[in-house]
Amino acid sequence: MSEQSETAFTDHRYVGKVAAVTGVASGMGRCIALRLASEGATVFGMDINAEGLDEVATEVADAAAAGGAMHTRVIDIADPAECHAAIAECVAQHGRLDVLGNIAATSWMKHAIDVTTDDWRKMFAINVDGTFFMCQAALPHILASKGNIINIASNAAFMGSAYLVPYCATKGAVVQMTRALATEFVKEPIRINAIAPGGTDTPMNRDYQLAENTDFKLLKRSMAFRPLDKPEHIAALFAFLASAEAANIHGAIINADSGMTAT
Amino acid sequence: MKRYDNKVALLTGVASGIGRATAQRLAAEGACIFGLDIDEQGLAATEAQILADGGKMSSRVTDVRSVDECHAAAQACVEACGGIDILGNIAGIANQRHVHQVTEEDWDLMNDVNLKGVFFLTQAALPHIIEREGNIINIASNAGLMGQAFTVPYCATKGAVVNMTKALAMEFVKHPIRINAIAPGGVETSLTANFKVLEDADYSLMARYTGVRPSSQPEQIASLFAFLASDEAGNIHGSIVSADGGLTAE
Repeated sequence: MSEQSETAFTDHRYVGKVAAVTGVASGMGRCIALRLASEGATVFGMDINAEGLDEVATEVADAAAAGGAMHTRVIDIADPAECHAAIAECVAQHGRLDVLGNIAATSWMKHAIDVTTDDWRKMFAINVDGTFFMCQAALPHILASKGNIINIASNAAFMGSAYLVPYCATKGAVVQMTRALATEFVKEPIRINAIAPGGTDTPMNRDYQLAENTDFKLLKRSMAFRPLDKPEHIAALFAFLASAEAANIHGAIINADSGMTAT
Repeated sequence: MKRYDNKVALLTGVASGIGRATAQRLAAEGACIFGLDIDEQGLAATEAQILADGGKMSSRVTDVRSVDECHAAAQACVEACGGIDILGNIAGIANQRHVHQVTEEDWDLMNDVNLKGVFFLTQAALPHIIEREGNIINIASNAGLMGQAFTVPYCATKGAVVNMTKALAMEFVKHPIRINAIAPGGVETSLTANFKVLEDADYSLMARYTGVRPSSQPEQIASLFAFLASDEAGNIHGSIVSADGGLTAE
């Protein structure tokens, strides 16, 4: 939290707000849970990793301010029924839902030829189905609270990255899903946006294993000039974007990638 | 400690609209504002308001169409405030014309204010921004991202601002500075209030760029500016951030 307390514009923007966030056991999800709770939010934190979820819940309890707190639910977002059940539990527990953050995702590198049917379906089930069915389950409650949804996309949605064909396809889907949802609900007083991070210092990124016989010439555009981003920066952007400060930002895909997609 | 304590922000177009709201917001968060505008009266009014609210601001009447004036203004800012942390290129003009009505004078005016001024003030400020590890925000427009009938020169200049922002971001990607743009949709400012729709405009063509949601308030662009120019946005570089109530999502 030292990084955040140095830079945060702490206004307790989330006092009295309930935020359902997936993928909070590590990386960006963890930082977002910490950040929102530090600004007073009640976080309903979800992950498939029960152990990580418990650890983060303890961290959040220590960091929470102005009434902020975190409740957890172990969930496999690949199952649409679980998405609906989790949102129902969140609303039953807290009486409302103001912010949905779809952060959970999976990624790996493989030659397209080697991608199995199961690989493909699993990546779509987590990155695309999970995001959509969470949105579907949350939307009636977001409409009731005039809240907002933020999906984590990726610079991979805008770059054709070798050995990341399924990942690029899923993140492209998240971008267009966000824009289509934004248009469908443009007459309602809610907001739906996405953040497209670049390489961020998270376990997902650290666990990347290069595909066999990687041709590095094909990874040229993926080789960033700046160091890996900190997940705290994504959390700061999330906390701004989901707040009333960003009231006119709707249907936007915000690149936060240290310049990777500028070229 | 406020986010902009000890920071110097050089802003154009501060006599009204987004520029004025941005100056007020940054000043309220502790920044020292060096405000530029061609409108002497509006500039003085912004300055008086900020000073009355307890903020810090000095100003210089500047025509950003002149390269010499851009450089002189950046220099004056450094002399008055000691450096430049943030440059906000906010000044811009817009109008509606059929293509066949656009004169060379129209074209040059639009380009000189919206594009040339942005480039040369950036050129003048960059050494100082690098020295302070600061950042630059250009105000583009949704017109830089979509084709809008009857505003061809405006779209051209704003499209140029979008790609100029990206090209600058790449040229300085190895420096510890950030360069971004905000692409607003319709905002309630004097620019839009004075925007005269052509009498014989085809409204079916204009409907494509008329938002379903009401126009934004300049304060909403100012709050995005205040986030984006702060250390909180440390990894946002070369980005074009749309703030248009969903107009460019469709």
